[in-house]
Amino acid sequence: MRALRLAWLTVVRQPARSCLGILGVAAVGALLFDMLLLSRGLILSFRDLLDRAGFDVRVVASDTLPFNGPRLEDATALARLIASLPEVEAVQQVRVADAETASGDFRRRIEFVGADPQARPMWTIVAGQDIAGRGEAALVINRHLAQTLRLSPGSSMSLTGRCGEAQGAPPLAFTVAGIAEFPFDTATADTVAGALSAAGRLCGRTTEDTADLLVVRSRPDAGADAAAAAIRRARRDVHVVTSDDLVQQFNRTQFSYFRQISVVLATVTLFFGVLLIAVLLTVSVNQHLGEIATLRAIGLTRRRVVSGIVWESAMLVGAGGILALPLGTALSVWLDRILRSMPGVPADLHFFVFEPRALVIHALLLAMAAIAAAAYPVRIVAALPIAATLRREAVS
Amino acid sequence: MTPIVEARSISRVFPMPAGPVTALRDVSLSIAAGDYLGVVGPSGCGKSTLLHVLGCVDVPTSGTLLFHDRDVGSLADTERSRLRLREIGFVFQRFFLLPMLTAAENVELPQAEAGAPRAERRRRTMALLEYVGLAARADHRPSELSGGEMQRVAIARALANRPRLLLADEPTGELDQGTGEQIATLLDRLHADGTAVVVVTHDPAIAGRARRLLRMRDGRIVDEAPR
Amino acid sequence: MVFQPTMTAAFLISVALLTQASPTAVEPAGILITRQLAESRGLTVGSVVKLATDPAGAHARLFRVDGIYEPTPDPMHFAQPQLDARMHLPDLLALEAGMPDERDRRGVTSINVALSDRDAERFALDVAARVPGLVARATSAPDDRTNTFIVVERFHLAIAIVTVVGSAVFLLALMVMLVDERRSTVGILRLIGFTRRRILLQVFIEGAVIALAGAAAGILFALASQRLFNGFFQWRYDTTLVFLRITPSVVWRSLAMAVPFGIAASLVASWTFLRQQLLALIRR
Repeated sequence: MRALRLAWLTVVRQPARSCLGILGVAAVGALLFDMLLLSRGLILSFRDLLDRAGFDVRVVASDTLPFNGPRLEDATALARLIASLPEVEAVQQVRVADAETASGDFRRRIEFVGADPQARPMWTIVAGQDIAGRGEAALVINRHLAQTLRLSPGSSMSLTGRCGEAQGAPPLAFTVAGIAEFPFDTATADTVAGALSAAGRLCGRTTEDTADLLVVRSRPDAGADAAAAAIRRARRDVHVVTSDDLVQQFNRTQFSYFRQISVVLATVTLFFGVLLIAVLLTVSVNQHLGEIATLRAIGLTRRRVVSGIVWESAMLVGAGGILALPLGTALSVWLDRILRSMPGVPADLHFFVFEPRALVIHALLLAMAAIAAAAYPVRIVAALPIAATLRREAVS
Repeated sequence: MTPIVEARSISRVFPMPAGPVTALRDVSLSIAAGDYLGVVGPSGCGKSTLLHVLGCVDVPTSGTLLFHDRDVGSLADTERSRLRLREIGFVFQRFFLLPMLTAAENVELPQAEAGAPRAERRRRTMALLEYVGLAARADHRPSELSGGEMQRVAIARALANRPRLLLADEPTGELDQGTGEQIATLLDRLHADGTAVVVVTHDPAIAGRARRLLRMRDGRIVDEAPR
Repeated sequence: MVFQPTMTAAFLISVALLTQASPTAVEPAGILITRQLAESRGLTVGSVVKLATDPAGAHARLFRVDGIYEPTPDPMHFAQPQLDARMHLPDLLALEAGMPDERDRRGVTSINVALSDRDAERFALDVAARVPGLVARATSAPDDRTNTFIVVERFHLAIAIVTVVGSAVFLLALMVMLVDERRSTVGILRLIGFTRRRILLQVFIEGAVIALAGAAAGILFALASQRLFNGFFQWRYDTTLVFLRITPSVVWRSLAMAVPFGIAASLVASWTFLRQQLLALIRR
């Protein structure tokens, strides 16, 4: 009879206790699984958003975050220079301006993304057409704005720039060409995209040639690093970051709290799970010392009896761990919804993201937990004095 | 006749908080194939300790225990386990059957551990249960058996790997007189079939069936009488 | 009280370029820098540094470090080192003079106002009514930052709920095992005439004592680990923020949950045995 079957029979012998143990591990495992999803969720989601824009290198004037620092001067010449590099496939100038709707009593604040209409867009059209070939007055707007202002392709809208001292610039009339999804939009963001020149005209600057950033797509055979290096060589005064750099930078700063908290919670959770199973097994072993001593007396080796305990632990942790997966997935949806309600978080950014790696680590950690939990009861069994136990059990 | 097991001046001392307790003092003993030995004496005289040492579940503090001329003290734990598995059968006062296994599975367990093929161990299990008169209860769990039936299953389990030596510690201690008689008759049969039997007992009826009778007191053998 | 004028410009700037410079004949303006900035660049009081808002260092000016301060930790940006410098507004404007988008920067992000009558809400309403487009709010009023912490608090609460559920299962499993171990004792007590009620009372008292002791041990453990937890995160992020604080309210809430849970778990576990026949309890 295999150790596995004997362990199984021992586990099912006390179904209530085993079920409670499995449920406890499931709760702990679910939390552990979620912490694994959280530990890299933001990074994966952020990376996905960056990739969705379709560009893998960003060029800005300083090492501050885009739109917070100084602008790039002579942006068109710079874009042309970068586009001429053999490692580069496409370049897009981006200029962001603050604007507001110019009609009605309530002035809605709007983020105007100015980009070259002929270049590959950073947004995804979901209805209507893109701005390419439709002149300076064409706009694409995000869903939130379309729903709030009841706009659809073909609608007209008027925008005024919020441009500091230039606050007196006249409103500009635009036509909605299409509705688009912007990767970094928050759930309540009002974003529109139009021609680069329109962004300047909003503030009455028709001759200014600046950009907040240039987004660059590298050639597939060259890669982002090679493109970034080429740009750095061509223009030493600009700051060049690849998507990988950005992810790493955010990983170190913005997202590190969630990574740290997930590590702390996963550790505590795992400790808790180990404790639960260790207590369950220890009590179980202590209750069956007579049987264990008998097994040893009739000739089962120490290793064989010990392996039974490890199997018992593996069964409880394994069953709990499997149950933890659907439980953890449901829990992660709930927790993700809570965290995504944080202000300023892009609507498509997720804190809990599944990846096969998390499943593997989950299984490995639980396997380690099963072994660690079995350590103490195994020690009891391994050091069990057969004769003394039989004697004690005979008189008890 | 070559002894199966031979104890030479063995002692067993248990360290206790109140001071060491000597359970066996300088005991020498030899058990050969075909022996039927009864061990009697007052409670705490060292009978069970002697049985445990002879059965290789305990090791003497001093002296030598030879099993087929091999010094048990020099054997590793795994080798002692193998010895118990193949050469020794144990019967306990409280049966110690595994409650989650059926009678047949309890008997099959040591055979499986010894690596017997499945078909062979099924056949032998049924034969053993037949031998002890419990073939009809093969699929019953211990909780569904009477005390006498449990002890008979325990004896079948002890015989599973055809041991040369059967050690029984108060095998009728928890049974009524009639059931105890049945067990004693079964032990007689085992002896008649060639297994060396050592029985520790308080029951004069059981002791009376043994061919040799050891009397113990204070950890010593005070009398050994062939019968 | 904080004003948020529509014209935006940097009042407290992040340092675009910072190099230590040799003292010159012209007395440089004084600035204050954060401890983190001083440590990261090896600056001390009296150091003379060159600052510019242009990444290439154009229009850089010299400043003298007059003091180093521990910045008020900002929970929204604790993961980023606070490399800040404070200077007088005229110095900042002078620093930005000649920059291409200088026009845009001739403003401040906020104006802090200390009120004599302390009725900030009324003052804010008054300002908003007089100057349309100006956002005025009391510093104690909730804003996006508060919302962030409400969300984080909700997240922690959700995790706490899962932990409590897990703990409850753990507790029940423990109690089932503890009671199971005493199955025959309970049987014997019933055999010699103890009523179920009497035994339940005993279990209740034992459950309460164990739950109280467990909760107390848990609280002590939390208090001890609080320092460890805070220490780790304060070291990790170089901040004086307190990440975890065991308040009396937390202690009471823990007790209020743990003790009834413990007692309930022991009673539930015992009741399954007490319902059984007496002989079933003492049969081995």
